Amino acid sequence: MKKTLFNILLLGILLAFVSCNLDDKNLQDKNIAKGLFILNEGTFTYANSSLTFYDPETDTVENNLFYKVNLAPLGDVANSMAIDENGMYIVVNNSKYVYKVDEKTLKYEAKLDGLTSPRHIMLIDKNKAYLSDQESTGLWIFNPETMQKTGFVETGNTTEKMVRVGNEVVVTNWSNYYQPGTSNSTIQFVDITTDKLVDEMDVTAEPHSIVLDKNKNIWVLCSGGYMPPCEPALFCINPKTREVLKRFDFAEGDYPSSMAIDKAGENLYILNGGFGALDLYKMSVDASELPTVPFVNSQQTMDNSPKVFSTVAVSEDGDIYLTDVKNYMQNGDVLRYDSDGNFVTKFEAGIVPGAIMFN
Amino acid sequence: MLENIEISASYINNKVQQKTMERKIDTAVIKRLKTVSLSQLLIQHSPVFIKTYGPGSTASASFRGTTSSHTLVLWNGFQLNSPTLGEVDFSMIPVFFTDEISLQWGSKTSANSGGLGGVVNIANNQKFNEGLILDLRQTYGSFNTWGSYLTVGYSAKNFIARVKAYRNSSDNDFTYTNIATIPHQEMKQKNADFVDYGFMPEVQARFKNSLLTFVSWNQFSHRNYPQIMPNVFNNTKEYADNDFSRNFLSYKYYWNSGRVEVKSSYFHEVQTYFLESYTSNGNPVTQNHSLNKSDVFRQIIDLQQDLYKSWKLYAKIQWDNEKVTSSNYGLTIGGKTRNILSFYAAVDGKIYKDLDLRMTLRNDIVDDKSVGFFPTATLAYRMPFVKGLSFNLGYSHNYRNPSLNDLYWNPGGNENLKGENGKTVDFDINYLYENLNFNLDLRTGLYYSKVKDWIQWVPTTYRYWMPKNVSEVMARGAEFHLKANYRYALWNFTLSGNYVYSNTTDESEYAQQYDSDGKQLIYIPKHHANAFAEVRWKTWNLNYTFEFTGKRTTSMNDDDFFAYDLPYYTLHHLSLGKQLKKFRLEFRINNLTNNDYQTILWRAMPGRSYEVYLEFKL
Repeated sequence: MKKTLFNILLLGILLAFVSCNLDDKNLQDKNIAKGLFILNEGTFTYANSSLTFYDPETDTVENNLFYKVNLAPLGDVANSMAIDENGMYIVVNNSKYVYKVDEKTLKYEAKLDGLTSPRHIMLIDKNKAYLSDQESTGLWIFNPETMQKTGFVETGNTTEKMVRVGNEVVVTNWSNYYQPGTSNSTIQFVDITTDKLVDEMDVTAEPHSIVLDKNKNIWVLCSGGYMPPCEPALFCINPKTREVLKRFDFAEGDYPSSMAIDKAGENLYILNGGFGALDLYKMSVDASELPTVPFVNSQQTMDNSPKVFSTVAVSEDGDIYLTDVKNYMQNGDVLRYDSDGNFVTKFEAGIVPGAIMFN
Repeated sequence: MLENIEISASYINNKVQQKTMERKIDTAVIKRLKTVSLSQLLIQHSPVFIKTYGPGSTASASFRGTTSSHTLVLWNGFQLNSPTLGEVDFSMIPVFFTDEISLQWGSKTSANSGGLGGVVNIANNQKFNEGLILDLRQTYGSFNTWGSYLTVGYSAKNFIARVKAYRNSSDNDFTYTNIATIPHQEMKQKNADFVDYGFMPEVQARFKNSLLTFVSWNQFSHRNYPQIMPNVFNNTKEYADNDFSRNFLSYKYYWNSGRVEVKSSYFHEVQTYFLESYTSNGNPVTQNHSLNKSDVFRQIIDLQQDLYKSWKLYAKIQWDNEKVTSSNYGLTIGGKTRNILSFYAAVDGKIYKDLDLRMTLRNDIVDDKSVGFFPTATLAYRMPFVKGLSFNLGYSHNYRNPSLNDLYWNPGGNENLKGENGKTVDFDINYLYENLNFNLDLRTGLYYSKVKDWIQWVPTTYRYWMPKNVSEVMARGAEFHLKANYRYALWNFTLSGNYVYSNTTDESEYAQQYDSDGKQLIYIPKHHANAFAEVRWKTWNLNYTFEFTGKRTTSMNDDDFFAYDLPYYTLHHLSLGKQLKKFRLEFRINNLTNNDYQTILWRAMPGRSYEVYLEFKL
């Protein structure tokens, strides 16, 4: 007993002079190839967001890239990414900043901060980009080269995902949680030459995803809200005439929450389902009704264990990537399927894998 | 007649079983640490692990490998765990307001629900016939930290009136290395200042065969919360206000073979939490402004009666009425109420020469519905040939009610939650040696407990989380405690320490589904230890305190990426003091070696700091 205590004391004295220095790890040099980045949200307030890179050619994956290169965490709740010839931009929502890194080496270059609740980036040209915000009512304008704010497009509603159609950016108004009295069931049109709001259209609550199809029509997926009455729906809209071409209503209790479109703009991939499980559905843009049979059933995957899908993305060659967030407390997986829905492979990413971007 | 009876406000004391499954914190430790919070005392002098967000921020306890909501805190027998959260913020308990602190575990927790890991008892206990009471303590330290503590009163033959008052504040703007910014940089902690103050009047009157006690604990605090390291440049305002008034009245009546106590408490608590950010045009966006008010009445009648020979009966009836009004419960502005009626009985006595048996049984009725019967049994054996050596073996079955937040939080609250159900087996070996100038107290405890229907907030696809009875947690481990004291001429040496090994894992189907079964639960260190050494010579004293906290996980991942696993750390504190008649002066250095560490992921902690302590005692 005495000895135990003596050992503890001895250990203590020895440890006293060894401080937990984290700088002893070496910086790692990276040279990113063609492939896809997966941004892992991590746990709220734990600042354990991380960046994963997957090379589909060699089927190799590397996690925690940002930390390995920069010896600092990415931040708290990383939400989205964008890339151009200037570099790569990572929006970290609860840290309220955008990090710019070199797109090849992932070395930190600059930071844009002073934001409220940044969400997504739409790059307009090499000196101009829009940044949506979940708490401020409009879009931040910034220069991606210098990472300086250059203005703000006041739209009256908080902003979420964007697509560009000619000289207009169409943005969804997804949340009014922090801005009660504003709309969470509209999409808005912003002129990129004047940086002014020019129009808006009603959809249903929580327009989550927005994509552009082969006919230059936009598709808007609305989760329908989490408080009744919920109206989960999918809209096909002509962005020029502002006309709703098609509307598909999901079943009551459904919560569609992620949508992607293939490169040809022909097929939509939608995550939808009821309480506890989202399955992947494939739908042609020419279809006249919603698909009823899942393309990938989350409860019956290759290893027969149920998956918790959160994001879908489609690569240029038609491969489909689905993130599985598991129990949100450990590294999730990314599952890769071919365009016919055959399982190809899966790999481990970070905690709560979300946004996927093809390099 | 009455003078022969130990008059203690701590009703839980049971003479026969005083030393099984229970440990009192040394009075000398309590006296020396009057100006710190209970969280600091426990992390340095007990096996209870404390998880703290930093000075002036929330500190929660983990007892025997469980979590903060499984550590029941009783103040003179009344539960302090908040009905909304189910846990206690130990940073809000000034040691100054306590006279006695003790820990109980296993079958010793059976008189109340909730203490699946253990119970921390704090009690007020005053002595009669001491005359005028005047006691003033003043501290000043780094980061503009001030503490003032005053006790005034009078202790007559049969009457005591005493008031304690304190104020504690700090700018808390310590310098640290922010390892989450690029590049890493030396920074000052911002928005972490706090002020706490409070007062506690106590009145006690002794009659021929009875004792009347009234205590009122009133406390107010305003604490700004700093941002985590990566978020330090955020333009955010975050604070919490915590105000409460906790009052109890007790009447004890004694007779030759027993006593009865009737007591009532009323706690009124108000908590505000505020989080605000700023929009593009500088307007504030209130992200969270929550208000929780609780009014809790508890009525207790307890009885102790000698039966036959060494056998004693102990019985308690308790009725709790908890009412909470919370802005977090959505549309039900009217608030939520819970009534708990509890019946408890215990018997103990000798079953053979050196073998004692204690058996207890409790039945709780929550909102008119019985939640079951909870039995415990403890055997205590004193080795006849080795003086001071004893063994205890206990089995206990207890449960914990879901907190009102678990039931009613909006969104996610789950009214169908069951209580958590825990079964524990404990084995203690104690050895006590005493002679004229040397004392040795050695204790080893082994525990194994299994909690079914452990409540865990799990994600749903609706973007909010929901508590469910999904986990089945196994906590097993060992505790070692040593205390030795040696006196030689004008010298006095004390050495004490604790080492705790806890292995806590979730073995449920839910955990198996995600391959997280068998993995240590987050923020519970497998190893932690503390040690204390003191040398006294005449009026001088030199103290050294040591803390060791082992590696903790913050996720269920296997890799040791810094943001998933927090490395171990050690802390060393030193103090030197001198008594000058009625004055006492002490100089303290905390975190002597200026170690960088994190107790919670990305929460900055102070490096080396200094404190001067001055005491005047009549």
